[in-house]
Amino acid sequence: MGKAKANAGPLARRPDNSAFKQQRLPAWSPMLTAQTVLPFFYGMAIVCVLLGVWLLVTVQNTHELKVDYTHTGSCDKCFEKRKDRANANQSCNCTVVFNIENTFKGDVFFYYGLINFHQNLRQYMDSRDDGQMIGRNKNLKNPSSYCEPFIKDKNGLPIAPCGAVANSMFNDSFTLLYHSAAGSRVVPLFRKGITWYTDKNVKFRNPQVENKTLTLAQVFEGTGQPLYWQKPVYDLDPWDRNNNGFINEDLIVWMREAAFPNFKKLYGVLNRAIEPFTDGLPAGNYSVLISYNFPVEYFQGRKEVVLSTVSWFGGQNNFLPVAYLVTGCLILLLAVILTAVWWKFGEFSVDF
Amino acid sequence: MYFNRRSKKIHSEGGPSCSSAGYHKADDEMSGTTSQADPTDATARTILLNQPQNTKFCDNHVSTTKYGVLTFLPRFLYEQIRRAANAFFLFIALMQQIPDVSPTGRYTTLVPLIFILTVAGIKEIIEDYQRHKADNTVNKKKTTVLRNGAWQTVIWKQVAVGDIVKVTNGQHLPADMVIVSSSEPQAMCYTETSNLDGETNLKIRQGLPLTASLQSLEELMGLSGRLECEEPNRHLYDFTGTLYLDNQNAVPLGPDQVLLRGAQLRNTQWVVGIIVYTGHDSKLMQNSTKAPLKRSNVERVTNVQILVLFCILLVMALVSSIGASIWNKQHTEEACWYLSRAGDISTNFWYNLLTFIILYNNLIPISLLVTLEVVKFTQALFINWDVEMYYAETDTPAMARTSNLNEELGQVKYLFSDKTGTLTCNVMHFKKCTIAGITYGHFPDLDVDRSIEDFSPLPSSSLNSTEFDDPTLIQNIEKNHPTSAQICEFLTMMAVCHTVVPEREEDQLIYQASSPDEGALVKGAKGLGFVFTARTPGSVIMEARGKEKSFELLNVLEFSSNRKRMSVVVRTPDGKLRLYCKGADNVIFERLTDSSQYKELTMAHLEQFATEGLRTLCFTYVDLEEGVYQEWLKEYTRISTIIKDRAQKLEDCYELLEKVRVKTGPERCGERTGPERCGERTGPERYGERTGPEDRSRGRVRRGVVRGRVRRGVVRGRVRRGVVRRTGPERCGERTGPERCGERKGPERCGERTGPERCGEKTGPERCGERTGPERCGERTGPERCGERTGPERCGERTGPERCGERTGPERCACPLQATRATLTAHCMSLGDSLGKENELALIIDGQTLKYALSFELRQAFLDLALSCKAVICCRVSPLQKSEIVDMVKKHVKAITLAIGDGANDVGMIQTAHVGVGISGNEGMQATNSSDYSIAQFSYLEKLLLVHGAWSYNRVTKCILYCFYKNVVLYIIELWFAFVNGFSGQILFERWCIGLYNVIFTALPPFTLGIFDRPCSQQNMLRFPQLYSITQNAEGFNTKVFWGHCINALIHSIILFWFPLKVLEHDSPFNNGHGTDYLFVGNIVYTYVVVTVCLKAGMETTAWTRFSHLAVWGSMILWVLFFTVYSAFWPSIPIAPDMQGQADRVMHCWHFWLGLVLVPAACLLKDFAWNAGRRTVKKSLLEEVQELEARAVDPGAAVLRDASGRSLNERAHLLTRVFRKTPSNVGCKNSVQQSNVSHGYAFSQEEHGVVSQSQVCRSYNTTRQRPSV
Repeated sequence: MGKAKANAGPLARRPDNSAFKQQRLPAWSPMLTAQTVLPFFYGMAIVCVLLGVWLLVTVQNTHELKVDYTHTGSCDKCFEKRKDRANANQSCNCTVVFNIENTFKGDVFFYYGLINFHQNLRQYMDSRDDGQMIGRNKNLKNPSSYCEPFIKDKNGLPIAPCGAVANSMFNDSFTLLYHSAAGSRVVPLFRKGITWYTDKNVKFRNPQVENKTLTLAQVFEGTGQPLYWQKPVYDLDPWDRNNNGFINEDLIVWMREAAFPNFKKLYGVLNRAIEPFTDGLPAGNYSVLISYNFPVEYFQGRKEVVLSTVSWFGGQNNFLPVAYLVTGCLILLLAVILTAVWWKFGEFSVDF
Repeated sequence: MYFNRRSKKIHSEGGPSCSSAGYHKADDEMSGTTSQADPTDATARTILLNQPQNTKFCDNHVSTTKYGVLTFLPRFLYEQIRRAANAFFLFIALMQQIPDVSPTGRYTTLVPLIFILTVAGIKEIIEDYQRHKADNTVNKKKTTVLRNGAWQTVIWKQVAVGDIVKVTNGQHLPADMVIVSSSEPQAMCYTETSNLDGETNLKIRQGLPLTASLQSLEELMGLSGRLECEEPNRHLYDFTGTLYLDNQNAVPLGPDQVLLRGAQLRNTQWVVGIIVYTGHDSKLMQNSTKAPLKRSNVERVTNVQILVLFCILLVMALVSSIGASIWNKQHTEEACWYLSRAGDISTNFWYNLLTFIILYNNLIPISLLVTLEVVKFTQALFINWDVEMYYAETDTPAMARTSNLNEELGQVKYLFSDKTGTLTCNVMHFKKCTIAGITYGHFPDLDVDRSIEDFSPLPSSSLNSTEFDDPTLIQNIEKNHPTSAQICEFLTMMAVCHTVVPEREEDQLIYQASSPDEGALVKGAKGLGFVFTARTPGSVIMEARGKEKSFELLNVLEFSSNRKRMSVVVRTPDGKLRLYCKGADNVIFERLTDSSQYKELTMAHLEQFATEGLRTLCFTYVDLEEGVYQEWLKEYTRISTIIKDRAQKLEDCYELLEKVRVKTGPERCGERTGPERCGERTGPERYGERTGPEDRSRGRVRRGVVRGRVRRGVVRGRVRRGVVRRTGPERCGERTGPERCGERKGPERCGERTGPERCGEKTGPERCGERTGPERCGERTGPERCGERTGPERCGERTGPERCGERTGPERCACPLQATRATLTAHCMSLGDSLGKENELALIIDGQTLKYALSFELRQAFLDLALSCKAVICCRVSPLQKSEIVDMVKKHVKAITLAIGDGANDVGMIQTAHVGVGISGNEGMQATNSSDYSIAQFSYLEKLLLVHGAWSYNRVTKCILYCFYKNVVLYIIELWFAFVNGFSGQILFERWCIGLYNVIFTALPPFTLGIFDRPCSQQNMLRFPQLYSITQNAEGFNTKVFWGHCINALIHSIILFWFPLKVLEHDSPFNNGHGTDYLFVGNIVYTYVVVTVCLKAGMETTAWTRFSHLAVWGSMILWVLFFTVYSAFWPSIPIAPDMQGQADRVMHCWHFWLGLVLVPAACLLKDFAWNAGRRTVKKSLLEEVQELEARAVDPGAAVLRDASGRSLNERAHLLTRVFRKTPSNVGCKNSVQQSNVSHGYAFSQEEHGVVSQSQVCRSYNTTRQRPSV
């Protein structure tokens, strides 16, 4: 099949004698012999163990505190109250008290956590309209059919934001109080800057209208609020007008669907500009005042508040350093076994 | 004693001598089983001459293409969808269209499927385009047709039935036609039909005497009437028709009047004919049935695995659906208030099942089929490109005619070879002669001890010393050496006693011989100054050393394979009546008087020649007395008018005269004959012909090596000597010798047919000592004899028959079924425990006996016996039997068979065997056209198997295993994810990432594995045939290995999923506290998968070429690039909203980078350690060779320990065997055998042809100009 060469001679069909065609391409053949593999193994083991130790030390310097408030303390009554759907619209506040023994140094992050809440179910995850969230007017009034059945409210108005994900948005709110000798004071939290940059600036946008003077409420006119919501989307953050609509950061955080049934999501970041929180959270007594709305008892779920500091590679995570250590040790073990095998069967004695 | 053995005749190589009659028989036998019902109904076609036809016939346009422009799409799609895997993916693609069922969107299967079909389509288009081009070339060939009262040049496809066509010398015939007239006497013409039946000898066809004179344009135009003939059919040698010329009686037409499309006109200036069959009606096209589609073993295994994998997929889907049901039961609508359960189909079990089938569908690698197609296609290209398998002489590269059997070449266990022409090349040269006890002709090769270096390609030192080259012969004539008269007589005889027709072309004398042997002789004589110049009906004119002599040609006593000789009666220029005779040594010797001189000496020389691998032939002459001759002539005239058994009677009659000769001039004869019989031409011819002695010998040796290797590599040889030639006992006997030996072990010797067999004795212990000896002996001595010396090797397997077969035609029928059974049983018994194992035995069986052995009841016994032997030689078998044997082995032994042959008679076995290899040589294209691979030289088989076969197998299997591996790794992760997402069918990865996994991100590594990987170098593959047994025994690909890979993939997938899961479940992988989502996890896992899978490909790669680097690192980079770009699509390009910003976040995550080191390492180090450990504990031969190769140490040492524990250096071993010179009787110690040394005799001539040999001689007058139109 070689291409006929231009010069039709007696050897016209002679194949090219090129390295490629004759399969003589230069090649490197790795040899998996003990001699070549063993140093690599030992090296790898040492690297893994060292890395593991280092990570372990790093992780030890981070703090994490989890407070389950599902029906702890005064939240018990709210838990009972939420069991009845009829009370859905009644507010219920409760307080959970806890104690921090060692100062949380550095940035402190406030998370809420949900246990056994499956944000990763297919029907659930698909039930959203990203076109709507990006502010397309067409989708605003005419959401994607994926949002079924959370697509129209009782009045037949299109829901914004539509779909099961938005509908089930976590709606507890927290106030963290620090009880020191000087009295109780609210721990200041940034409620913004808790989303990915791209989410806030690219993926989520409020509907654009030509008339810039319109308020957000007017922009969303003609849409209904999600069925389970207490407030419309343009009124999510009463304190910050710019944090409303689809670009509300709590909404954005919620819309990033967790991979696993147990997850935590960022609620706020400690504002370290204010005394006495410049170094982080000082040791002492704290309480969280919770506006308890989100019902979890139906699915045997639990809710928790998580306070955490981070290191350079993220929050407290013991698995990674341990994994490194274990892997390092296994590799070492393998290497030792290999060495033994090589000693016994190999050409060690012959070659050296 | 010597004369008792009439059997050994080599009748020339395969095709040429096999006459049409002989072939005919074979053909019929074949068609009895292989042809579909032929339209035998008597409806004739009527062709009107020189007027428009009443009926419309198929035109002469020929198309062998699969598709047309319009039919391409539907036919191609149909072809593709018929394949189970494609149908499956189409099904998935359709299911995805059901709303809400597919977890991966609607088009994620459809798009890759279309992509893959496109690739396959492009390949089809390229292939079909080439066929189109080939067809076009044929259809546009030019020919001359009588139209509108003039000769017009038209292209082939415009030729129509009823046209009168003129074809000139060398042209191919455009359609089947009936001869009207030709430039030759009596409307004779020569054709070469190698395209049709693979025979290269010229066949004579002759037009009707009625029309022979119609030569001028006017006469032809005036032709009117009609021609009736049968409907088109596929029988090459059948034709019945009748010519009704106006005002004339009807004349019958037979096959002798027909020239077939595809044949080439030779030795005839022009021929005019009436077209009867055109285009697809022509016999050539009717015969071009498609070769049966062969599937390779690997492909079959793969299909089974795919099926099993499909079942696993169903089980996984079922388990997941059940899981979903349970989960749904536990999570009622009440509980999952956050879900939209109303009208949700996810609670329906069957919908779920479908969902999961779609989710897991990629467990079956969608790209596997197309990947393999491309890989094999490229491998086929490599075969075509191999410069070491390119034969410069005929400008023929090797050609893989199919690409789906490449890997099968690496698994061949049984080799079936046709000997004739296959192991040799069918080229004849006059090499040596012995005259009056003196040998002439220099022939150094066997006298020189070869050194090891001969294995490396030799600088061909003496190219083209092909011709007889010995000045002493001429000197002896000139210097009046005592024997100079005899020398002259000898050379005269060479120039006179034959049926060759000389042709002058611009001062060049060209000899047209229908037998290559004769051609070689006449050319040889010419080279020595005895030039045969012209032939007239009554005489032969020659120039003897410048003087013109004219011999009056009185009679030609024709050659036949029974007689094994041919004579002419001439009146010499000085008026003597003389009979020249040439023939097989034993035939000639029988007829010599006891007082002949030089008899012993000549015999010794003959033996020596034959040992060298030359074919031999003896010449003798006798002066006749006028009276005796006249008496004989009377008898002859009487007999030649007898109708019944004329041929037989004529032979008897010839015998009379030839006998007479012996009687008459005993002394004279004696004296002369001895001398004259020359070791005429030679086996080496074939090779020798082009390469000169040294080279030739190399050819032989090499071959030896081939075989040696193949054998060592445990290819079991089975040579079926396809005795093409029908029955002539002589030749068969002869052939078998060589064959068998040649066949596998004595390869060398087979190189040349006769020599070899004989050679056995002298060339080397190996052949003879080991097995050939026996075989040979067996063959001629029968079991008893053999028994003595070869003991176990009871070679003379079938005893009676074979022997009798050889000499006593009829008697052989006396030992039918019972005898065969008795013999078989006896041999099976005598083998005892070793039955079923491979013994150093050879089995020889002839076609007659084989018929019984293959009968149902004996089949098993025969097979058992045959399988216990290292070699089986079948002689005198029909094409049908050949394929039957192959079929038997194929069916009863689970091993790959390969058949190699070069003639039309091998087609059956080539098509039956798993792999058919055709030798594109002098015997035409038939074998080549039905083969899967064609090579130009038998010796290329070595590289084809040991290098290309082994490599292809290695590559293909690696590629397949890897494809399965990578799919299992990725898609099983979806199953693990199902465990944490409530079996909802959610995917962890972005849908298009899944869809493109096979077609982009991991598409390249399988290609590099399949195309560029090479376990060790070509040289070493060739050097260590033992390496072949690795692929041969399917060590690289069997159920165990397959599941090993799958389980390994399973483990990898577990690590790849659960590691990141544990790392990321804390949801704060950034130092700014931000959270993540499922796709973040998915992308990290996906990246790890791509990296792991690509590195795994790297681990599998034994030779990292630049393409491997490109594939491994390139794939990773490709993914990263894609990931980066894809993450920025939304919202500008409205897809993948959830990918928005992922790349940026993933790259900023330290967990990701830390995991990137850990996870692939954890996966691969396990494999790494396992391999290294296994290597240390027990190195396989392959690994040892690889290692040494890497260290650039001569790997020779590695094989010192070979599998059987024997310590040998193969090369040295072989060399010693090949080159050790031993006296010619080594291995044949007893006198009986010694005397049985066979002499290579071969002669090839069309027998009982349309025109008898004497008629040919008579009808030519080359001194006259031929008529032209």
